[in-house]
Amino acid sequence: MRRLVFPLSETEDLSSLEAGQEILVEGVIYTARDSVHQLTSRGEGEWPFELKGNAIYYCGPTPALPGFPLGSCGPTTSARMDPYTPELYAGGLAATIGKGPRSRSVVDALREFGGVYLAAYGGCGALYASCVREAEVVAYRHLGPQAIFRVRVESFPVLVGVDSEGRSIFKGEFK
Amino acid sequence: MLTEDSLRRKVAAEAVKAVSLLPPPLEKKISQARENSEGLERKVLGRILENIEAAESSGVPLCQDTGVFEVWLRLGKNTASEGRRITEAILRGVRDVHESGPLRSSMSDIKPVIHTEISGADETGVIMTPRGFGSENYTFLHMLPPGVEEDEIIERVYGDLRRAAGRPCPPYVLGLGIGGTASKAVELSALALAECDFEHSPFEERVLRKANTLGTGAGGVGGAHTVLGVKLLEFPRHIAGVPLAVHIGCWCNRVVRFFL
Repeated sequence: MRRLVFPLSETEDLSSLEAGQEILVEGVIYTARDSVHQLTSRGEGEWPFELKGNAIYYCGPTPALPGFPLGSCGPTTSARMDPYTPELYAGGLAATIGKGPRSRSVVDALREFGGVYLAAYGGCGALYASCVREAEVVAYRHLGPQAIFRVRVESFPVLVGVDSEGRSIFKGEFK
Repeated sequence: MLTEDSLRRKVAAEAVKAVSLLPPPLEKKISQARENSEGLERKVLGRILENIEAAESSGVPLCQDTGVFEVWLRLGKNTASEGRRITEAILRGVRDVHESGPLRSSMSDIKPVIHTEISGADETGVIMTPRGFGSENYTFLHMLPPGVEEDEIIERVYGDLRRAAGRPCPPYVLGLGIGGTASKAVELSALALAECDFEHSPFEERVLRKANTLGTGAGGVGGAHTVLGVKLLEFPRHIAGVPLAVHIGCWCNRVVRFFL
């Protein structure tokens, strides 16, 4: 199966990914959800990592059980992050990872800037916990589960939800 | 009679169970759906089953959204005069597992929603449902005219599902509440999610069939398994109007029930 390592190397070609393909995410990704998107878009906060080549995972994990680096950590609904997302792709972000369909403006941004949207399996927090090797809070600790976690993952399964040509796996979006 | 301390521990243990184990009839439905599906939908259902297994073997919650706890407390003859003490123990038990357990603190202050009734039963029954907000956000209320036809009700439910599309983690369980007041209908639709046993009345069967013509499919990737189960709970109707509430439960429709 195709593996995609974050942060992306200079030679990685996202345009070869096709909607509907299952791939494995490897390397380092960063969690962020509602509060961080609101704060950064209002200029009241900054992203603690370079957008270029990186992936944002829409996730607010549960506390880790003993012996685990992170708790249940499935994706949250991507649609709520839609209004904030095009400008992140414009800033060089390579991928977002979440669940469910995206808005037309996000799909347009993917086409324009050559990014991808990766669809994680909704509700599968225990499965994803088993793919996490390390996790640490790198910003917004006071937001609790909404803090930004730097997460190192191994064989983290996702579908290519919307590819860089704007093709999507979702039925009934834009309604 | 349980002491407040033992009751609090009982509630905490049940809350942990609620977020890591799926009711067996629902797991069976998901498994059957996988056998009868193909392509991407089959892949999604397979990953969901892997997740159910991972949660069961590790104790890690099925979904990171361990929700707002919605509780139905039915005070039986053994505890009818002790509602206040029991309510307090439920609040403390639920808080305990958020402060030192595997549950995510998703609220500004951890507080379960508790519906208390005095029942005529000998025992006191408790139903606890962690309500995740991926699905709770897609809750609908329609105030329909008296004499509304079944067809119109089914159309409304279909329209709501179309609006939700794949966002609240299909395949879904649908809870419907009809009658009473607006607030009663919404409460009933939430309770219906907990009461769904996948044994469908003719009306529920019609809703199910219509819903699955939508083609949203598991994970929203297209397919025949948008809804796995439907449950309707009713209250008598006022002569001037019929509230219809629709609760969409994600595939991870969690519920525990126990007696005190």
